[in-house]
Amino acid sequence: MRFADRLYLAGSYDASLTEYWRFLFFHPEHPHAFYAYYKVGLAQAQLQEWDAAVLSLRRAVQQEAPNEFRHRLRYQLALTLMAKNDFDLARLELFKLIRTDSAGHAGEAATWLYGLLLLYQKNWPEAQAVFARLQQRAVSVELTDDLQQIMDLLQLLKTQPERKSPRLARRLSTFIPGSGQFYAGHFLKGLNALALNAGAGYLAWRALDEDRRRDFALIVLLLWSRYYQGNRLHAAEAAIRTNQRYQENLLTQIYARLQQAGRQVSNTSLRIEWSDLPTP
Amino acid sequence: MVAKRIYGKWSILLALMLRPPAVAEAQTLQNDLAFLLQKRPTSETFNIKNETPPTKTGRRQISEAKIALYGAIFVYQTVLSSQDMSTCNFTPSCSRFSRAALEHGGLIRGVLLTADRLQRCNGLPGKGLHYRFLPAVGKFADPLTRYIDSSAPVIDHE
Amino acid sequence: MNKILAAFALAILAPAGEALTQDSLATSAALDYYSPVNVLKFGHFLWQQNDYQRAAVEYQRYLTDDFAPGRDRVLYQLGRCYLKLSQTEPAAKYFYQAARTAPVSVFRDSASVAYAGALLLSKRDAAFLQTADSLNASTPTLSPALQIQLLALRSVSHLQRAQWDPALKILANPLLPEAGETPVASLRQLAERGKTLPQKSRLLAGVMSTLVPGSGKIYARETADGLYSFIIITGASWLAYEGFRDHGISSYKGWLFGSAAAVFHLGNIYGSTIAVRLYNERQQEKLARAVAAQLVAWVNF
Repeated sequence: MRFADRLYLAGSYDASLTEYWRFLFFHPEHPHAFYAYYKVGLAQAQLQEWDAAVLSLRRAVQQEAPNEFRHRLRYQLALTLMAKNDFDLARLELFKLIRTDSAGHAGEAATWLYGLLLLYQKNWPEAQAVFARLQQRAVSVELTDDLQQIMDLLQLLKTQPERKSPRLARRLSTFIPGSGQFYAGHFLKGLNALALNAGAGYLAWRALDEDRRRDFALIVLLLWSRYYQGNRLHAAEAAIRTNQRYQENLLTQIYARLQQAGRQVSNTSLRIEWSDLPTP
Repeated sequence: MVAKRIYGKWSILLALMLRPPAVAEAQTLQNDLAFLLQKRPTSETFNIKNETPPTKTGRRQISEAKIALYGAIFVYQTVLSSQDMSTCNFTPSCSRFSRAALEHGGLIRGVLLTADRLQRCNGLPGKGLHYRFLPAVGKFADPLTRYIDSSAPVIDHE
Repeated sequence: MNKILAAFALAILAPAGEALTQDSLATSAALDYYSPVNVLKFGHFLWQQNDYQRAAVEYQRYLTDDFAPGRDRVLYQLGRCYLKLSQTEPAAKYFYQAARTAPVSVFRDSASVAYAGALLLSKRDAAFLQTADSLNASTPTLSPALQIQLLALRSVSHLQRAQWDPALKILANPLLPEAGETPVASLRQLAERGKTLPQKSRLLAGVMSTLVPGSGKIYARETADGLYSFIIITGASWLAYEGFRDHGISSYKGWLFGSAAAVFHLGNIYGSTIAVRLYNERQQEKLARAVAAQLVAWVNF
């Protein structure tokens, strides 16, 4: 297995996988089997084989292992699930870890990851609660400040999740085509919608005025109704886009603060190394 | 001379033997947060028409007629189509198909292919027999290659 | 002294040198992971796990020992690995080596037929035919199962080149089962289908659409599109006629709808010929895929 580790460290992940599998084939019940599965999972994650990595890390967690390693194994599993964007399962694993290792390094790191996961899931109130718990445990003034800023930004997202209401934009455009787009801040699109609808309306009115009823019906059915309905739909879309930009802006600030805060947390390594393992 | 050569060989060997072993980067919370933030999911950009932007092609000599048609397509896309609902059954959309047909098939062929495409772009049933449905965008695939490259596979949904 | 130092350095640098470190002394003393027997065991395990790439590496590691027993079987297994990885050229190479290495036996015949199959999968028709002929000539006592397989591969080779009659002639061989739901029956059906493959005329479609807008599309089995084109073109033509009738030659409505009708009509004629081309190609491609699926089924060693 040392050879496999050296291959892994040298970046030959595929070759290291072969050697870990070889160890597991010949020693399926070895006390260090959990470590082999763990390294298999890490190697597969390096190769972006996320499904396989999750499977291997699950097997590592299921193996017999000393308590001090079980938390780190579960932490790695949760991290890999998050990298795979499988947030529901990651949440489950992080929850288990926070409950069983509340005072340890893995439990603390899991709390941070849990906060990040809640941000990804746009669950602002719960994320705020998690960062508040972390703030209570913070030892430095800088860390407390960073966490406070994160919570303030989350408060903003919680109380004012939208800058523009898509429903109101759609209603405005129902009465005056283009007004919804203006409300959402898309002025050119609003002018375009207004001009098109005004043009189609004028053509329809002229046809009716000249008693060309068939032409009036065709213009209204084939032209005006499409642009009118399109105008309402696009007004709502414009408001949604504005809201998305606003949220992204706030989230970018939150992530930057989070990264800064992460630098001030303990530097204890959460990786399991060969040298950590007890002699079987 | 011999002693120098032996000395040189063994000093290289010693250097290799005493080289520091590779050490993995420590897995700290800071590194893990940075890794996850790098991979964070991007928010879906709202797009009624579910279109991907066309790839730019290189500049070539084009005739005035083609320029006029490109201009008409551009005006249609910017002014008219941007306000319209998503009614096109196909992807790429008819205006994009038309532009590509003019670019790759020439003026006459491009106009004929456009006219044919506009007639095929109707909401009538039976499209599933001849075109592949793309659930992600909710439209049928009708790429230009089917019409101007006879070596391209016709069946792409089996 | 130099030799002792060199041996010590090699021991540290080579992978086997890892075994000298204290941590793995216990396991290495009990087990040599890289002995031919264990390499082969591990290779078979990887094959069962469907990890064909790694299995191939282990089989090749086994074969680095020129005196390892059962080389022919391992070469054959290596061929199977590459076949599973859809790498037909290396598969053919290893099947060939297995056939050359094996003593005269049913196994050698199997390896030879596998080699022929891999050649066919690699689209090397000439080499396949040469191999099949030499197999028939040199081993007249091929087992019935292998003879059937070889005949089936020959017929697939003809089917791939759209040679329906030669394929049917081979499939009429008395060795092959006649009736029932057999894989051979599927080949016969494909050959019959190839002979009577429906193909339509592009010229006819164009002429039909010229005379009656949309009829060419209906001929190409795009009925809804054909009807729609008919409505659009006749509708636009009628509006153009109305415009010219009411306002004379200077009517903008007449010119607008008239031009639109003309362009759509020409587009419909062109589109009808393309629709027929696509229809014909679709029929050919469906058949080609069915033949390719048969080939994979018959080369499934």
